Amino acid sequence: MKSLTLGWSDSLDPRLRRYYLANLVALASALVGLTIAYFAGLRSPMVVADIGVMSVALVIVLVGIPLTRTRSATAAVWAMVASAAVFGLGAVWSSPFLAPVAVTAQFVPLTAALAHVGPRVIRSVLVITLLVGSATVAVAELRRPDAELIEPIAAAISSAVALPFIIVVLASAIRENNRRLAEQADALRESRSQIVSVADATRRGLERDLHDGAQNRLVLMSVELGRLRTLLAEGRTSEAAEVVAAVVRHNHDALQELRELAQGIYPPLLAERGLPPALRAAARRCVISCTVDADDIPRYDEAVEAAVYFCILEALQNAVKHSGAADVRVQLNAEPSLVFEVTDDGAGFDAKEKHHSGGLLGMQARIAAAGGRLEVSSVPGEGTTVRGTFS
Amino acid sequence: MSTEITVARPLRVVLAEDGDLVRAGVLALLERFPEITVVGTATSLGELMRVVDDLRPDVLLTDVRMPPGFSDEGIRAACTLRSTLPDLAVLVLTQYADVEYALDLIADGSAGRGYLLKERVADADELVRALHTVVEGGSVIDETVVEALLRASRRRAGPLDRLTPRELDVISHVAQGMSNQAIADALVVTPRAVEKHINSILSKLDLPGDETVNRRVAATLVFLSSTGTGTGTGRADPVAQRAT
Repeated sequence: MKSLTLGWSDSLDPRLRRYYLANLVALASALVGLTIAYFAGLRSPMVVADIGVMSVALVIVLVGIPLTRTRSATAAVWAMVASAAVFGLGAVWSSPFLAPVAVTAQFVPLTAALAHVGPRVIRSVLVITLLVGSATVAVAELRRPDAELIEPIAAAISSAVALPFIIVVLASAIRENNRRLAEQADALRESRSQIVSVADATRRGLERDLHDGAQNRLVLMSVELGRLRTLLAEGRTSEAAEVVAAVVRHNHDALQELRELAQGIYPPLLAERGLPPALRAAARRCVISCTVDADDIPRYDEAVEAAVYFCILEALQNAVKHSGAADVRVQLNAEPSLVFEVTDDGAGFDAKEKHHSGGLLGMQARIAAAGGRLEVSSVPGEGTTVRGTFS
Repeated sequence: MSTEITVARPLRVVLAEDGDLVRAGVLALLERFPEITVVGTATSLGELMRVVDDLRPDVLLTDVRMPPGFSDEGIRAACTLRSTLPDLAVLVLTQYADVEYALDLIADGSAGRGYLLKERVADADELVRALHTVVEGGSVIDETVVEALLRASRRRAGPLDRLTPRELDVISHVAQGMSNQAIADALVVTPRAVEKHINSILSKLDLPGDETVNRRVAATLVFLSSTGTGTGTGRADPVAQRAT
């Protein structure tokens, strides 16, 4: 087994690999069984034909293994489809009584493929499964009169042994697909509640900032304006001038704070110019050195742009607040699909321990809601990398 | 830009601002200056273009954001007017302190273009001075914008490290659009000394040397904005790309 697994593509999903191996084991054991029967004296042409068919199907599955390295899941699925077709048509040609087994076997590749390949491949596999399934039944019926006669009891035993095996594989694939869907639903529920709580926290933060900042300054200004009125009424102009200077100063600060708040709610640059200018502006406001490398980035859907922008902003804030980094690098790539990366040279952290911090979950939820995926990798002492990918 | 208003040259102004409060405030503010006549107002991009075309003012004083799109209509108008009415000066009043809008405003040249934050109207003299400067073909960039840019640039190791503190002072004034004389007045040194600083800055930063004040503003702004974030490739000659 060891030598076989060497050929596997690293990216192949372990579940798909299991189905593939089950396919391989089933064909190999059938081949071994038939060969033993042949040497035990069952030298009928039917057995010889079956041995030939099983060998071809097995070779197809074996050839598929190295192909999965370059073509991954799609190659694995097509190898399974091809070997099932050869097995189905070949087996019923020599032994028409195997039709129920052969037809059921056609559905294994389709069911196993559902969670692992794209809709186009699924559609093609579905069409081929239907065609080969019907052809298998047709071939079996056409061949039945000419086929070698076999003891009914031997036919019954062959079917009774092979059919449950295939049905178990099918059933477990269906159950696994269901479990996968349930897991995705759970993750979605969790990320939805995460988004809601992040949004609530953001609103609370905004309220606090408004209250402690601009609102306070406006209150202060009205106090000062009241004083100003008194001073002017009393003709104390030089004191009045001082108060005016203070009012101007507070007004300036309030404006500055409101501008920063408005910027934080939704930066106008992002809406109007897209990600690179908005990120460059954010990098300029960053209190540590921040490099933005984002050439030739087109406009994306509003939700995607906002998710990427705020996620990068959060990553920058984390780098400033928690990592003690001196330098952050933001990189965006549009080809082949949108990818962004924020790398800092700070303290880093143990990814296993801190994986579930609120900010990080919020970022992940936000990116997931926009159709992407977020990974955070960090090694203590070697900085942190936040990487988001959209496909 | 001159520190004292010497000649009260009459100015015909069109004011484009969709906010009633700010529009009334600016109108009241400008009323105090006898040489300034607001000949028309506009509250949307379409109206702005019509009014400017009909009245041919000396200068357009405009907000950035207005109907129909509430995005960057003021900047876009300034860019269009550069080719349709090349003699018209434009002073943009804005809430946005991001340099990106200022860079767009001067992308086709910074002569007769100004970019001021709205709170600057607290000092009426400064607003009027800026109006005069752009009408005379100069340029004005708000000091808040320039300061933020300079702060960002200095956080990065880069060519700015080679400048002395005095030269950093000077470059900040250059980016705001000040003439050598105005910088000399602001820093209380002789114009000759300012000239020396500027030559030293230009050679240290590889900026084009024999430029007019306007081209110098654009070149400096673009330079500072690209050192602020290190925009990666493709900006080796920022001046040639954005401010020709």
